[in-house]
Amino acid sequence: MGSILFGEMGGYLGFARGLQRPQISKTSDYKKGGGFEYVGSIMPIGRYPECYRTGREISERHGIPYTVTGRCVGAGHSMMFAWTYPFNRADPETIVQARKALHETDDLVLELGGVIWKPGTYGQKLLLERLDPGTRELMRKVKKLLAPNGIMNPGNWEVD
Amino acid sequence: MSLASFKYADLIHRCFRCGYCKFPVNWTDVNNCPPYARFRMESYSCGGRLWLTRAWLNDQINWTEHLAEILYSCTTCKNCVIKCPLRFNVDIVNMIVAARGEMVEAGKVPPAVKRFLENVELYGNPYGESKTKRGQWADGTGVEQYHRQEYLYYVGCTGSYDTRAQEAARALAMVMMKAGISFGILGSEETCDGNEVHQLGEMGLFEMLAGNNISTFNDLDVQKIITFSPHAYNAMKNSCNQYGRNFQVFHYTHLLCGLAEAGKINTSKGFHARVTFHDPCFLGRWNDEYEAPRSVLNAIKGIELIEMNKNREGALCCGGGGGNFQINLLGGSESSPARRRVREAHEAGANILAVACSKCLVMLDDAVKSEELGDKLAVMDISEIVAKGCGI
Repeated sequence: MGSILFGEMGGYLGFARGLQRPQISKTSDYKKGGGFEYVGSIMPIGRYPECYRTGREISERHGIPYTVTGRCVGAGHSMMFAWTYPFNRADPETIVQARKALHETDDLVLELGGVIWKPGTYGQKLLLERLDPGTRELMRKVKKLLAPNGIMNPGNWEVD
Repeated sequence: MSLASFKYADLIHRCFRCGYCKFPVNWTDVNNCPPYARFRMESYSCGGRLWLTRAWLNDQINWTEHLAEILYSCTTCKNCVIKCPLRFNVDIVNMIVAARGEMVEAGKVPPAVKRFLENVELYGNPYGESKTKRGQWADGTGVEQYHRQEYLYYVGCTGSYDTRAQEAARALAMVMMKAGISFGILGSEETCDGNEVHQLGEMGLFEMLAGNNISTFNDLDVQKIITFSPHAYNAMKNSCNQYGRNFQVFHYTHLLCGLAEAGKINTSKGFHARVTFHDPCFLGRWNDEYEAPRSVLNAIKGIELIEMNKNREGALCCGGGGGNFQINLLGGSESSPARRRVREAHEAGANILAVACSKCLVMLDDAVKSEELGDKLAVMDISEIVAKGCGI
């Protein structure tokens, strides 16, 4: 099963073109289970082959049909590349496999010189470890100012 | 109750909440799921309801009255069925109805739902009114009791008891009499069609109603039924087959459409107005009939028929389906679906909002008053418009 980005029957943002069954509906239901998570990244365009090949390897390692998507940003200074991992909410084993795939993909993004787009908590930790100390301090002060009791989105972007 | 024994246990986890269920066909906004439009909370969208239902059946959350209200706020309008891109879309409203059935079985429903079901069981209508009053809408019209005329005119609870809907029920009777249609009514012998009982999940009561209705129709040798309400049309057309249905059923716009095409109704008096038509869910999305009402309106001299941005399978429900006409979990706000819908009609430039459903008629008529649009927009049933065109 390959990446079908702009086929006749669907495609990324297929709804905008009036398609009845956008590709997202097929991808999300590969595991017949209503579970669907992805890692997005901002990535140098030259990394496209590695993104594709390694994404396929991660998917196969965890028994997940691979679906990747890549598109240039703006005039082509970088690209948005994403890896999608469906799972079955009624099958805990598939959830474990999808979570492992997501974490390995977070690692991959940083190894290839990209930045994770809207990361989950695992990806947040990876990014926080690499942040400039001054940026970390700025984030800490903003969070302290806006949420002195830590009640806004607790557990996310926690900076000590 | 348990997830394992739930009829849709193998399907309900497959919704991944993409959110498409909230859109109209033309993707213009996210407000075409009536409860979501009213509350703007994910839990009130189809996807949210399915996830909550699964969590409840899986003992991950406890039943609360609020949870029940979220489930019962669904008007079963089927916008989600039209928009869901997944292949189990045909069953997503059925899942909500089945979950309501689990709540009914457990005796855990909101008080308004309990009253509705008790009234139907005790009195044969959700109003709790006496059966002897059921035929009073026809007093003075000359409409006959059914005695093997060609058609049985089945009026339904709203047309029988609601004063605004009664006006439209009478208008249709007058139009049919003027066109020479052979028909009669059951009067006090008529009882609830059960469509909303079915949608509310009380399958035992629905079976009893369907069985009794069909027995009555068979005893009277009824061959053809004209329903005033699309809700009754849906129940008789789609839910009664397994109980021995032995008659043809038509919504009244089917009949009027045929009469207009055959030149059997004279609307030469005309009706001069900019009219827009609000598709009722149980005629449109449930039964795929969008053209008959428009054909009737187009046949009347003087009518300029215009469309709202959301029309046909993309129409916004008035908020009265799935029992909400009575249990009213969506009212009380300018975000209520009926108030949104009359604003859409006004913005389209209409001065008449035409309907073909007694529940839509009352819901939207009330909404016009709430929106203080009474001097700009009137809600009329198609039967009333045809009657005007016929000079009745």
